[in-house]
Amino acid sequence: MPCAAVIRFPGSNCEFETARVLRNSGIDSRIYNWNEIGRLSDNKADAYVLPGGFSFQDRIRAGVIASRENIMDFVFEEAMNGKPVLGICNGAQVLIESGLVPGWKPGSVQGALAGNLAPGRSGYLSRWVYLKPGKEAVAKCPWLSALEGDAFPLPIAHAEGRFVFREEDMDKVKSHIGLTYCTPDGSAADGWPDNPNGSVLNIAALMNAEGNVLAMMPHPERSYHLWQVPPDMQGFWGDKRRNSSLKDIEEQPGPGAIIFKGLAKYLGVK
Amino acid sequence: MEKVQIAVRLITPDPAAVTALNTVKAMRLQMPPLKIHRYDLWEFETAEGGRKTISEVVDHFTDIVNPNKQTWIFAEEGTVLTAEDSELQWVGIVIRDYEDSVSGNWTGLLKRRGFPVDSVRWGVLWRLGYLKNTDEALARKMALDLAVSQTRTGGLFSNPVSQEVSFWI
Repeated sequence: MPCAAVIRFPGSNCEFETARVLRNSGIDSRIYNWNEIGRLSDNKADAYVLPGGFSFQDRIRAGVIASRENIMDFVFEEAMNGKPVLGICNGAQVLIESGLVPGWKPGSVQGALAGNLAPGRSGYLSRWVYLKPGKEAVAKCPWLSALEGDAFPLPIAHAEGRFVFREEDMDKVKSHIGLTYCTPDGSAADGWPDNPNGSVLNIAALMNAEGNVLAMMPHPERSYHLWQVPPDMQGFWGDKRRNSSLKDIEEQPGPGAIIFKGLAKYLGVK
Repeated sequence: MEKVQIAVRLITPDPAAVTALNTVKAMRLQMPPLKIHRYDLWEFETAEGGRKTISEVVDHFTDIVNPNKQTWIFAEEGTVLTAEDSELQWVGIVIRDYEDSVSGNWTGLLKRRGFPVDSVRWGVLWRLGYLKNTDEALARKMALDLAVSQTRTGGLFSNPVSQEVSFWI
């Protein structure tokens, strides 16, 4: 059975559910602390996940201290070797501060996850959003390989989730788009509230050129089960939840499952 | 129009500053700063009243200064701030987001509440304390190198894609 390593930093708070949904998808998973580099390098994994949370209490800026940790040298090396790496929310912030995404020059900081920009409000925002994959994402990115192009909902919960790039890089970044924010019917988001944080090009997830590293702000592990979908949600997933029996609500997968199923397929899980 | 700056700091040691110092130590620089302090730096442009207006703002909104855990002073560039060791060569760097909703929202809020404030700009002031006999130009260069994260292992305090850095002498 393939194995994924979930890296826990001080302040991570989504490691258990992330490890659990990986196991539910047919991938063995183990949680490694940030200072267990020896244990991790002795048990190389087939994929790596940096879970959500507030690593190092978001001190200085979100993700920056974790990106300096020695264990990230190892993750960096594995990413360069083509292993799938996923950063969810705070994990995405760590990946962008590590220079793994967009990764034009790996190790160089070439993008930012800046504070949310929304009319009349600042700071932390928790809600559901609709997403659709970027043009090259399904073909290139293991994590997104099971998506079919339709809009699907996932929850977000962050204060610093606005993807920003230098003006001269804006064209280049288009081929790195993993997921974009959209309306429930799949049209491009036109600002708040469909784009919840002011991300340029409505970017919700960004990958490296090879597609094996994905930094995503939404939380697929918090929507792995159908029971996690809000009953009043619009569209397909809301209808599915409302029209399912109690047993199905408890047992059926939710929209986030497809991210982990994509990895399972990539790793050959039957 | 009068520009007024205030520096706000925690009464207790600032955990972000402690972490910053530990991270800088781990970077094994030739001459790391010996002390680091962190302040929220608020810059107000007042239509009238200057410091008196800002004192009223600070008294009114505990979001800017929470008196249970923070203290503040009017901060003029070049002054030695309270609680700083005068035996060190201090360099101040200010980190501000190119676009931040905090500044815009506070500007709107203060105007709606009738305070004669034209604009608010929020940032973080990092004060880096180098050895006293360090050449001032060298200290500034070292502080600037630390201020900008160009790579995963170089620089720390700002992300150059979304933030700007300036000296606060």
